[in-house]
Amino acid sequence: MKDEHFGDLCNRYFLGTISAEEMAELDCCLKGSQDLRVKFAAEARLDTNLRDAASSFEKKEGSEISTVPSRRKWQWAMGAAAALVLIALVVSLFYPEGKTEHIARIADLNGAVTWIADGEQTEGRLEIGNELTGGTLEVSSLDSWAELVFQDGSSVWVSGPAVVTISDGGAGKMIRLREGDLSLDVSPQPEGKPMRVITPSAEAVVLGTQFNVSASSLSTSLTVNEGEVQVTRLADGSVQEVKADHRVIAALEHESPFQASPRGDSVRIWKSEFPRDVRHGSLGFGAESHPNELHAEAHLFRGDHGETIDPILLHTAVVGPGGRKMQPVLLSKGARFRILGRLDKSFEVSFGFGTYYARGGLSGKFSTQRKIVIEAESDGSFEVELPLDDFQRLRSRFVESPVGHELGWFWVQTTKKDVGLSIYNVELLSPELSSK
Amino acid sequence: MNKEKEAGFMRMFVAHEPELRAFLRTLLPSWELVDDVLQEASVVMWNKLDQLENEEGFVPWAKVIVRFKAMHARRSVARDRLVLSEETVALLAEDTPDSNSERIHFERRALDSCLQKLSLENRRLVLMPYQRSGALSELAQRTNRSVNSLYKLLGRLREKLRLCVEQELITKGGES
Repeated sequence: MKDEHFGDLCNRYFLGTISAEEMAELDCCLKGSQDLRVKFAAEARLDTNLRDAASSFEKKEGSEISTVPSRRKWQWAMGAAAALVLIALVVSLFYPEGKTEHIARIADLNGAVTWIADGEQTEGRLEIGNELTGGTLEVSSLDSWAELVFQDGSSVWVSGPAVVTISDGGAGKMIRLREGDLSLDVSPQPEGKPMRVITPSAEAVVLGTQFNVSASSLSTSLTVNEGEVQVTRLADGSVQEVKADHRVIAALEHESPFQASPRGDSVRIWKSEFPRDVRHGSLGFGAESHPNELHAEAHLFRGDHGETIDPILLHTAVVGPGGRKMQPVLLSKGARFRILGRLDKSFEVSFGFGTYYARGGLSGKFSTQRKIVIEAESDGSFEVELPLDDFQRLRSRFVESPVGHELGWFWVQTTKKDVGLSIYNVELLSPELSSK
Repeated sequence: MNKEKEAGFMRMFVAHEPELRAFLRTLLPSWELVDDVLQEASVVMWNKLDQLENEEGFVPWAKVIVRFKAMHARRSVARDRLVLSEETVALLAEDTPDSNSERIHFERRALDSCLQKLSLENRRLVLMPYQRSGALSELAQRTNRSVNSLYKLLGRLREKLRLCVEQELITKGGES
């Protein structure tokens, strides 16, 4: 395209006289050429500076260029200043300096949970009933969790490992989830002050509802059980309204689909697929028979609540039903998990899973252990089947049995030593399928 | 209320406001939308100021907020007015450098110099679109010229200014 013609299209665009055909042509040009986009941005800067010059010109020369736009600008500046003064006034009235506002309390917790209040540099140990100001909660291990309840009764289950920052200011409640799983039961929020849940890849605006969020550094899965949540994919600002019984996945890269879809009827069998179902661990290439394997990642366990222990090295891999079209996976009586993986040598391995109430929040965490024996001359592969009945709930407040609940995630873990734990896949077998 | 925080925000916002405004103009089809979006974005910035780690990060951080607001605004007007496609707007946003304030400052000074090279009549004409709407039509009526011919002249004048600004930057760029 000739520079002259492109310049003409730009002029028409910025002067507001462009036709539909010309707009389509301009759009096509910009889409196909970075050079033209750079030129277009230069035209936008010229337009910006011309507008500013129009305001100065009026003042200097007293011409008739007076100016709705420049008035708008000054109106805007005055409006912004007034807004800031108003915000300052409201904030100073309701949050006088030095006064610490408690915004939530710890209703329940277990395991390695630490708290860093805003403005403090030291971690604090928590107890049930502790009142919290704004700050950051770190739930370090898989068998850890915490339940926060805001002043208005909204509750947030934080399931480890997770890092969550909470605040409740003039604009409403904000929960920032860096990674991990949340289950939220949100009371109706004041008008104009929705709760915001922000992850590395999505922002959810909530007026009052029950929903579950699972976030990694690359994507966020959000399932709504009651009410409606507005979700923005941060990669491109696109928005989805997610209704009850629907879910949406927002990836940081914006090539993958971002569309709320019904959860569908639940299923009773499931087989993990990588990378779709990876929650924690690093993906690698395995042997020919197992092209993808999930390597357990190391992290430190610093002791359960109230304990002071030397840090223990853990290696953990976590998988969970994911994917846009994945239906809820229901755990049924007599079902079993089959886990295929690899170890460098025989070792004691911990297995566990988290569950949700059917179309509801977190209902429990269950775990069991097995000594996996690796033959001396083998490649280290192992296969183990674990009946649901073998898993014990981690705390009495959790449901006694996972039967009838939805599978949230499944973990495999070794303690203290790196014995090369990798997972090829995890499968939920229905009761009808017999064990090998 | 932390007065230092308020003053810091105002200082950063005012210093980079022309850059944010130019960035928005790249993404949105009218000045009315640019003004509305920047106003909304400024409130969001204020509310989320705690997320800003340091002043150096202000422009990229503010641009993320501005960009999301612009995407929303674009979508809301897309049904009843001509706009660039969402894909193109996203590409334009991605191509914008992290910080452009110095360049815009130099271009603004160069533009003043270039405007002085135009006749008063042409200077008024080129600045007229930023006047109240309909000013060009009124001028066309007063001078017995067609609006179309005025727009063509305006286009030529803008092109002349653009080339002049480029030349000024080459010859005087960076002088204080």
